[in-house]
Amino acid sequence: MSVPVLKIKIYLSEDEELMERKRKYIFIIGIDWPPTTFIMRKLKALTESNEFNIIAGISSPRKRTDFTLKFPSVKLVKLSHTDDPIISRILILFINILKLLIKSPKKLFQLITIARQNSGNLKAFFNLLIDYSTIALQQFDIAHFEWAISAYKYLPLLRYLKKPYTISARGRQFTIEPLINENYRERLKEVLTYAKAVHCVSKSLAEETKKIYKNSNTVIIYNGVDLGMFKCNSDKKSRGLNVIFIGSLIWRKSVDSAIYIFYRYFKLGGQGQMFIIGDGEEKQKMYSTINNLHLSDKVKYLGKKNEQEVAQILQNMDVLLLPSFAEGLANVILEAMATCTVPIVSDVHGNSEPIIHGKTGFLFPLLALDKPAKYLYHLYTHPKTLREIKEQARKGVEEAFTLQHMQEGHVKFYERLLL
Amino acid sequence: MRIVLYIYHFPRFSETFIVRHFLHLVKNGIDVYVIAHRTDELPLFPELHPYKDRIRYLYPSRPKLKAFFNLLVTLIRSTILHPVLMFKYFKVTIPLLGLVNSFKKFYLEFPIFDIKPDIVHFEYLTLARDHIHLKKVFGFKAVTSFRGHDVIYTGIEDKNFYSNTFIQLDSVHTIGNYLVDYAKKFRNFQNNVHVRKIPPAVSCELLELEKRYSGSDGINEPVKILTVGRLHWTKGYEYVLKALSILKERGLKFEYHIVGDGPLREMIIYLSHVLNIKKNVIIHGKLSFSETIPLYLSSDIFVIGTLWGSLREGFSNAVLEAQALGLPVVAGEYPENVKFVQQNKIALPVERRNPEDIANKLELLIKNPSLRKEIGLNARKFVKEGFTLDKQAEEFLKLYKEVLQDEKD
Repeated sequence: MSVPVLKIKIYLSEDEELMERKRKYIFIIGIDWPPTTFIMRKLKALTESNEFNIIAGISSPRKRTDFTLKFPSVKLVKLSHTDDPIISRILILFINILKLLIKSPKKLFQLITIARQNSGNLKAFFNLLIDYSTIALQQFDIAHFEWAISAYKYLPLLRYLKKPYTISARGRQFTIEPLINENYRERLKEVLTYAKAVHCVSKSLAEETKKIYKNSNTVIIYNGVDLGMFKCNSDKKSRGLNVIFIGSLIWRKSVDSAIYIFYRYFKLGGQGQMFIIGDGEEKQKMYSTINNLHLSDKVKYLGKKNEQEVAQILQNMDVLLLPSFAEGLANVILEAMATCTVPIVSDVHGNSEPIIHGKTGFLFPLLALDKPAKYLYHLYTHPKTLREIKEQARKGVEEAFTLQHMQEGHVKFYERLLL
Repeated sequence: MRIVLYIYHFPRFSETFIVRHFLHLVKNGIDVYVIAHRTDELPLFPELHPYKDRIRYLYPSRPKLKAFFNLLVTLIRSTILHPVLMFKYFKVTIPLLGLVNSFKKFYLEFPIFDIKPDIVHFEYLTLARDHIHLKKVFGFKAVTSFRGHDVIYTGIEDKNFYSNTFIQLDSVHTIGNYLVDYAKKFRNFQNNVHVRKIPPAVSCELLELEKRYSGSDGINEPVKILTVGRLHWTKGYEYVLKALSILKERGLKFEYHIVGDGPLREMIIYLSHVLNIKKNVIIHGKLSFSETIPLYLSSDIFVIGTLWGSLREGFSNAVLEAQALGLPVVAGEYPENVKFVQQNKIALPVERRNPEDIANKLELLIKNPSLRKEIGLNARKFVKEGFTLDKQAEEFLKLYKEVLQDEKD
């Protein structure tokens, strides 16, 4: 039994009504709110194109979610989180059940069956049913998962609803996890098998994706930099090189190697200062390395900084040092290049894609730490080369890695799939 | 002389040296107690069973209701048995910690009320920091150990993290001078605290075991390389793995065995993949010491990338054990000690974090079975002469006596 529901919407003009009807709905499932910068930029691009409406499925805990942050053409839908108060979760589930009972009781019973089949215990069943019922109540044309593996738990639901989905391939979910966890790799393969398309942030990630499921429909959309915010500073003057490391202080970013490279540069006779931005579990490692290498007066830890602060600090830097063990394509490389900061980065995954070695930056093999020290010293002793590479780095970003490139890429991605 | 050894977990396989230290003190007629968090490894140490009454465990803090009733019992008990001490305790702790935290702390520190020691040896500097206020209550002499991580990085963001602790200590035991130098430079450690260096040590029984040296040269037969250590950033595994990938590029055959577990397991697996040495790396996980001995005996080289430590001063327990069993060791060394290590051929020192240097030293050993044997035997002799548990225990006794002597003087 289903009861018809009457909905009235008032449009100011016929054009507006037509446009609204034509708009396709993309349901982005499982993001934080406020979202990270790159998701925010993507939402902006899609909604400003006037072709899409967004439903944001928020999976961050209620207390960390800012519902006051509104975005035109973006509807917020709260999904369950184990840290949410139990009362609020029960209430959501109760309302969802009521709505489904009125709309389509058969659908409700199907959802219960699917949720039960895909949950190991009562608690998991309860949370899954909240999400399933919340999603099933929305009208959308396609679902998207910014974190690919999170699609796995929704696969049975999307199959039942006969809704297509796309995923984004980013960083460690494709570079590290499949190598260290066979079970994870299998799940990811299943997600890729049924995905309508896969957005990859670099060519390298597209290759990694195809290694897991060779028939994946991969589309490369590079992240873009806001060139208005990330600008060069031609007035910068310092005696030695200003070197910076930006990234989480976690093993795969290897801040320890970065400090050691700087130490080797100093041993070669280089001069200057090193700055570190970021936070994470290896902070103590960073401090002890600075102490053990007697660099306390040359290496400064700046803590965690926001995007605007990073943009300002980068303007006074000469070199970005990034010896990561794994990266999809580190945004900070693009940001550094945009501010005329020369990237010297490990040649892992997508890091090499924006860099022409020797022309717009330098690449070195994973953990070959003598090479970047020599590159630093070369730049220190050849100021003209340093200037040239700085200029070329900025040009490199302008050509293919701007915000506009990225936004167009996302719009085209969905246009091809939906329009 | 009544001594309390204050420690996190007792007994533990990874800290067998403290078990030996305790037993040595008991056997020398010292009135010694241990205060520790509970551990499930006690049944695995039968030698401790006759002394169970000397091991006092903290009361459990969970479930909360049980902890609350235990607190009431301890309060009543100490009001009857130790009213003066209890009054002093709260007089000291309430201004420091506040009322609620003071009661919580009292509950956890209660075991010491029944012991009333002359000396408390905090086995880690972090423990001294957490419990040094007890000194004002009980008037004991406070000794602590500098063992590595507590000095090198715990609380490193704050230069004064230990300042209040240092001024209340009567003596410091350090496993190496490099830790004292580091503490002076980066932890605000003052010169006026009495310091005694007592290096780590190994059981003499290990020195009785016979090692057979293989003739593998890495060209026809693979060489077996071993690391025993927690999978933790302090151990510098990334640099060793890179060194091994260099060896592979040079066409050398090897197996790399890792004994240990920890948070960097995924990094090691990942790097083994991307450095193309996946088939060469075998992670055994955490093994007991007796399970590790056959690996020590069958390996050709021991390598460790630890970011601090001195070969001359007794690098660490795992390294000393490897050396006692005749394994040649490749590890970092401080510049001032390199000459000593090279001249005496007790190990091959490398520059820390330098994979190329580690690879070169490993290659030297891989291609020279006779050099492996020579360094292995020298290392064994070096350990036998300076790093045995008996010698260590004697040194501790001297330290405790000195501390009490200072009081009389």
